Amino acid sequence: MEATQFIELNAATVFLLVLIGFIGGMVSGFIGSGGAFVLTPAMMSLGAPAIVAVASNICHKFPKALVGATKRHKYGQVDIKLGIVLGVFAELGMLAGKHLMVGIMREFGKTGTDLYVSVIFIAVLAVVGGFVLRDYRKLRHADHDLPHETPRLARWIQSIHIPGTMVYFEAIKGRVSLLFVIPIGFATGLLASAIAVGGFIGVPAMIYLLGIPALLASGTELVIAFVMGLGGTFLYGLEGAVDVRLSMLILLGSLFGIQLGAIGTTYVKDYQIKLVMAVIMLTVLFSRVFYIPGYLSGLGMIDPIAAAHVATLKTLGDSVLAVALILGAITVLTALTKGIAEHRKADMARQLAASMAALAPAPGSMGSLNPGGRFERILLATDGSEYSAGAERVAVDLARRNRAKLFIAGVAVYNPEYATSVPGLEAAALEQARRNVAAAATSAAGIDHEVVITEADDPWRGIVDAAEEYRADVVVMGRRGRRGLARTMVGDATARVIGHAPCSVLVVPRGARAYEHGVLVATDGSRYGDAAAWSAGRLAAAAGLPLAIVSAVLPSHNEQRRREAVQAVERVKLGLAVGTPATGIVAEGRPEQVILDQAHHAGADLIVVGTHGRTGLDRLLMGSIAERIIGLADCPVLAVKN
Amino acid sequence: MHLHNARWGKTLFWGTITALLYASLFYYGDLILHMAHTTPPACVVGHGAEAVYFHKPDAAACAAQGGHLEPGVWWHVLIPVLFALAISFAHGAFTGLFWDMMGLKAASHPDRH
Repeated sequence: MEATQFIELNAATVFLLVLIGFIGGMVSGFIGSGGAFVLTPAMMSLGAPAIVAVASNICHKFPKALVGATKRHKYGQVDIKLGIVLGVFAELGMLAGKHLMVGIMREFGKTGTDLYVSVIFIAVLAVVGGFVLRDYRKLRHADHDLPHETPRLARWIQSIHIPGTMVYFEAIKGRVSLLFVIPIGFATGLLASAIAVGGFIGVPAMIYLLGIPALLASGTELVIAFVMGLGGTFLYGLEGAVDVRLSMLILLGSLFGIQLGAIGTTYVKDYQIKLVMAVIMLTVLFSRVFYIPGYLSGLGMIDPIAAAHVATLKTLGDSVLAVALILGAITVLTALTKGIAEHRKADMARQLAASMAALAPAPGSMGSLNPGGRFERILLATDGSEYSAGAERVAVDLARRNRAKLFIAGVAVYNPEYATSVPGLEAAALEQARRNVAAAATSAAGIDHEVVITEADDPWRGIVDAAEEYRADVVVMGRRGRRGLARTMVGDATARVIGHAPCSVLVVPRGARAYEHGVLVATDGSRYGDAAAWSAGRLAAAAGLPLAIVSAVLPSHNEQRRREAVQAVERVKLGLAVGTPATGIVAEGRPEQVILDQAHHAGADLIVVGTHGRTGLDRLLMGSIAERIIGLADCPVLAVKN
Repeated sequence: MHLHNARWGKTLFWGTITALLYASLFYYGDLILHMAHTTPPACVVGHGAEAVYFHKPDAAACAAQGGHLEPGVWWHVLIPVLFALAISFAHGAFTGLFWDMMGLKAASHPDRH
């Protein structure tokens, strides 16, 4: 016979449990993982036997997982089939783990299971904490989320075909042998039975072994957690180990905390989250180490330690755990308050800028269009290469349609420093520039045009100078120049002109023609988006073309963010009211892909995007999404300056 | 204003349901505890809140402690499961509305699209 005691609940323990739940939930919402590595040890510190702590933790987790899984399924972040298959085998792993735990309990008593759970905790936290720390260092040096790449191991696993065991999974978008899936599920369950956090194995295994993107893996883990948690609650419940009061008190605090933590993540960078995660994991690990001598002595595996010393060690361990929790809580709350304050400030600045712009619409401030939606002074920048062919065609066409003045700019590129020492250098460069613009000048016959040759040590500088000097409303140029060819998708010169020109820039791919079917504008609700929308609206109205207003949301965006995207599109639609048919679209995916797909669907052959301000030095000021759209589009893209 | 009132009403509704669920959990605390402990066969020594439960009971040892044997009732396991599901649902709805009303919401990143 063995006594299974639940902890006694009085005002103090109830308060502590809710508080622990709150902090655990906050940490868990922030770093996106169970938080059980905080909750299980905390419950044990309050006096719950390991088996009750694990069981009660599982019981509070599975309904939460169900709520989370349903929510994320809506965003397409869950592979239910894979989740259920893994969940069922995790259940078996859990049975095995529980069997092991009961065996240890029978053989060594409560101290034995406590030691077992603590050792697994330490091992897992050390490994996972180390990985997270590595990720943090990697992420800190990248200025944006790294794109998903199928790891080499996953590619190998996907390539193996074992007849009779192959199953198709949506998350992998292919077939994989069950013989690889089963051990992952089993190990997840085995771990969960000991520490109530199976996700530590499940999520990395899905990412690194099956090649599933992180977001999908963590969403699918919720299905596993639900299947496993429900089964686990039954199994432990049948043993009489689930204290539902304990579970629900933890849940009470946890649900408040988890949402606060999740909101907190939207105010910080990815690598900061990873750092908090690693620090908390390693601190919890450190706290568990203090209990080990007591357990070992209790089991007679080492020389007996005086009870007073064991108690001191336990107090030390509890204190370290408390520090870990408080540290986590402070970090999240600081991130939240600081983030909110900064955000409010930025919002106010944005509103101020918007109202200033509304009060005094400076000429050229809104994409350099005249109110009738016409460009009056067009500057074509060409280097005479095949990459400028599209730009030449479109600029001439645009000038004809707008009855605009066309400036055909060629840049004589040479370094004045050498010009003095190399006779004829300047003349040769000027001659080359004239040859470059000759073809464009011929095709512009019949429209009001002027050839402009500027001298500069860099093409982009020459173009920007010409745009300034001739007060161009828009610069039309190719995507790549001769110099850009071997560089990036968007040529260096093009990127720099967009960054530094005083007006909007129309970037034309090689084979593109002037727009005549429809205009698409990408908006994100910012003032850059507003400027783009204003220009797009005027352009579409002047040409009598339909306008599509598109905003993209990422799968990771919450409902709030999605609502804002819808509002942004609606606001633009209402605000424009330009008498041209306008449709609003909010779609999910990588922004550039969403915009290109929607342009294709809407039959739009002009994409309008906003770019960041005029100051700054590098192509960064153009905005990475705008750059990718410009780089990938097969129709002209108008980059509008705010 | 209308919207605001509707949200207040909703928050209050889910808050009340959550509070009722928690109240019943503790009002019937002893019973729930008893049911949890007697899901498997158990030896019960003492009564009410003072009761001590022994699992894998041995008739002779139980009698020696002055307790009585209770056969396990498997469906008692449904109590925590149902409580967990109900509270999670009601409480989840309530906290979401609660933080919303407190003016806490996720950051939007116009620059990130």
